[in-house]
Amino acid sequence: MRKPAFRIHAKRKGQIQMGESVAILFIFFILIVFGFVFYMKILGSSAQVEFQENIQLQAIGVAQRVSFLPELQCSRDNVRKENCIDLFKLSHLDELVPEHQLHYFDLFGFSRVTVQQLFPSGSDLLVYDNVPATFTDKLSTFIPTSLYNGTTGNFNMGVLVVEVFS
Amino acid sequence: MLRKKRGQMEIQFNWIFVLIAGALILAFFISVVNKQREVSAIRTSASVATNLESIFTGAEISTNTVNVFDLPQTTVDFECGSYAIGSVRKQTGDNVVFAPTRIEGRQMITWARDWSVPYRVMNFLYLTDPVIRYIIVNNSRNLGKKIFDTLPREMNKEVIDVIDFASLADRNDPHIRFIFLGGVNGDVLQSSLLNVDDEKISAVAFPDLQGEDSIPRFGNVEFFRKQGSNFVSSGETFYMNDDALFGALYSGTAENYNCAMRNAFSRLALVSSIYVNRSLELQKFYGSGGCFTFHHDRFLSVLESIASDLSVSYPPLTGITPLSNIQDNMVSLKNDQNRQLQLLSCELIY
Repeated sequence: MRKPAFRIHAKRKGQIQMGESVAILFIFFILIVFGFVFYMKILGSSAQVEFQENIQLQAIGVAQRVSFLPELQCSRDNVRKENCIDLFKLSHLDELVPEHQLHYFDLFGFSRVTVQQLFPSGSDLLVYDNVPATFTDKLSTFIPTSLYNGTTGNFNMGVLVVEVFS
Repeated sequence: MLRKKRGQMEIQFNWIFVLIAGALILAFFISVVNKQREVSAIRTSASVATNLESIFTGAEISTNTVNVFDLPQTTVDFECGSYAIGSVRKQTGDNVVFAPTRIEGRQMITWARDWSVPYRVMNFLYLTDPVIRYIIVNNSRNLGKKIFDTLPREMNKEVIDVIDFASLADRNDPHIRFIFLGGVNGDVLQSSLLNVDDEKISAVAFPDLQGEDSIPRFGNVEFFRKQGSNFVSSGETFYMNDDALFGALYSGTAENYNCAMRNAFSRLALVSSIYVNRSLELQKFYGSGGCFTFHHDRFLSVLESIASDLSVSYPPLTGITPLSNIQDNMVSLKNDQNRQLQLLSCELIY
């Protein structure tokens, strides 16, 4: 038995309407997904920038701490000399650091601190060395410094190298 | 009839479809907003933590500086050796930080002071909230005014005389801190402050400052909390010099203060050991004569040994004696060694 024409027409109309709704929803969700992916990408890149800034801040912080460390800094009658390392203090600090590894880790974290004597040329002196087994980034800071010899009263020229690993 | 029923069903189905789709969209956006809120809170806390770390680093190198920092609307809780901003917890590490237990204003005042015993050991960092009201209860002399003038002017502070308690008004401050230069006096609570919540009032007393004109080299400190109409002791300890006295004044609890002092003495022991070796090396270099005589480790070794003990147990179990010994050795090191070496034009100890 044949169905009346108006019933077939109504059914088709309903299906088309339903299809339209589903298509609108589909496009709507696709737009949301696009928007979301775009937003996440921007969020990710800004997080990456923040992460890099944090590493740089950390590196600067370590370099500043080393430069002003009372265990290294020259002083006369408790008046501090900036950008000056006392060689007597330095010679003992490299013995002290391994004994108090945890204490200095709080200060310097994963980094390597060396003092290079440039003039008169001399050997490199390691102050702190804690390099992680694996790292993705390394930031080095070079601070020109004078090296004070208490026995002669002379100042040598050197550079403080601070390498921070992350 | 059949057509009408079918139309009704279609309309109902459309509504159910719209309802489910709407609910799904709404749920999606609610979950995104919630997630975003959590992420944003963590990011704010992490950014404050990074800023605080930079402040700590800055405070380690610059002395006698006062800074006021803006904070986002967040609370910073200070405990022994760490601080928490929301869910982000960080270690204060090697820094000696004296702070109230909670900073919740929109600003933070930082004050860095050099700690030299007698050589530079580190900087002490004092943190507070501009909304905390500090009331210095003066003693018979005018020491209260001197302490008032030394504290950063950005602080919410005032000096009152013992007889002025009645004039104290409740200004609805988030926290009131009484500083008694002498014994604690519960009469302050008989004023309009009696009805203020107990946790909003705390006190610190320096009994040895009664009748003093300047801060003695060392003395007792007692921390108090309000309980009804009285102050109840929450811990007794000691201070050494004005740096530690200010530390007690800023610290929220005796535990936090003692913890900071243990860190300070731990650092003193390390720095002293450097000076011990330096002086002995120089003694060896001079071999004989005046420079040789005044380069020795007698005072430095005592300083190192006492500091090492205090880094483990502070307040000292033997009372105030170790602090007095440190002071005596400091004076001897300065006058009997360093000054003599200076007179002889020798290399100084510090």
